[in-house]
Amino acid sequence: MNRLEGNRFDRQLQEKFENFTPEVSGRLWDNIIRELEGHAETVPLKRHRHKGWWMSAAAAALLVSAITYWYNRPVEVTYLHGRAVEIPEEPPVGAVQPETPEYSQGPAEEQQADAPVARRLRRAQASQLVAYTVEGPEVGATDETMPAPVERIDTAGEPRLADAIVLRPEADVLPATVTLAHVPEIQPLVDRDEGDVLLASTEREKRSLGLSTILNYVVSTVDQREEKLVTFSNDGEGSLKLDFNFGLAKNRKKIDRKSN
Amino acid sequence: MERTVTVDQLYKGCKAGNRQTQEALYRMLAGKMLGVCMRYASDTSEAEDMLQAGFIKVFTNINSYKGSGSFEGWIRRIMVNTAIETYRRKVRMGQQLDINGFYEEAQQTFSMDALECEDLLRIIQELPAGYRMVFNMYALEGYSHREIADALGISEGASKSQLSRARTWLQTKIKQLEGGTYEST
Repeated sequence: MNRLEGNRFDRQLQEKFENFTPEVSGRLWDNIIRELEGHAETVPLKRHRHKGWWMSAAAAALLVSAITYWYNRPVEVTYLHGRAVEIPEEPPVGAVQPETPEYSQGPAEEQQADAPVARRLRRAQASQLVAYTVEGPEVGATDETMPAPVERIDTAGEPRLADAIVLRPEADVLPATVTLAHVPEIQPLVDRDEGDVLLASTEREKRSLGLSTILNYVVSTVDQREEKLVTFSNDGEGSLKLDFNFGLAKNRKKIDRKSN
Repeated sequence: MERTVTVDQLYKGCKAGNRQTQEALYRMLAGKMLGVCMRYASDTSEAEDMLQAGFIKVFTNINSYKGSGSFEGWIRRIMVNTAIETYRRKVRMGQQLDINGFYEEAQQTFSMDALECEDLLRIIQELPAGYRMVFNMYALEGYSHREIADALGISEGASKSQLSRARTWLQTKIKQLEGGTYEST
């Protein structure tokens, strides 16, 4: 079809549709009115998109925060505290060392193994070992980070858990009157004489205490004097403190000048 | 004495948001604009949707009419733009068809006097959407191929090609409708 023929075809169609007016459905105007009246109340599409953008941004920020926290979360570190235990060669009068696993390898224990059972029982009753019990949180701890209150059990008149533990391996030869003490669930055995009773302390305190001890040890290996130039310690909140002995430094300068 | 109101005289009332004036404008132009929409739509239902959306645009965007050209011509362009939007939406949904088998057929000239508008309209509506858009915009609305290409997102060459194929396809359909008795002029 050439251009002229095409134009003629187009013109014929134009003339055909020039006065073409199909009948319009009556409901259309009602729809238009309803749309126009609700137009002011309808929320523009852009606002929806804006809201959706903020929601996406908030979700992304939340996700990034969660991932960051996950990779930087506090990791619980356990510091091992080694405690030197001195085994007395001769137990003091009236104080008998129990046959706990820590004390069962010395020569004194070999002698005790030969002693009569009744004598060992009396010694055990007179032992300085006491049982401490750790009460639960209902006792009234004022600070969650502080150790739970310690209550000493009055063990007078009845055998202690220490006694029972000591005598268990030879239970077949014990008198029938020996009974187990009624104690709560946890009763760690602690040597009272050592003074530094290890109670339920917070992890934070343990960490800071260990760090200052290590640092002081390092300083002591370098500085052999009785008074150290630098001393590390911990305050009540567990923060590491650095004490610098300025007097020692001044004295050292004076000594150096005199020597020169 | 009966007073005749023109479309341009209704403009001020529509701009002021007068509902009665808006309804008068609608009653005056709805039929003619529905005829325009039906040439672009694939059926009457789609044409009515176009007409409704077009009049809502007319009343809500009436401030954008600057007075250049007739008010009726501005309304007609809005209807065509609404039809273009509908077409583009359909294209995004993948409803794009092609016509094959008619491109190389012999061309004939004929008269359409014996055909009713409804018959011609039905044939036009059978055209694939892209071809129908190009044919309506170029042959019946007077748009250039450049304008059609910009509006539909196609090249000028594609617009020309689709126009030619649409014409051939329509003539073949009209020929089938008339039983092959064309009146050559």
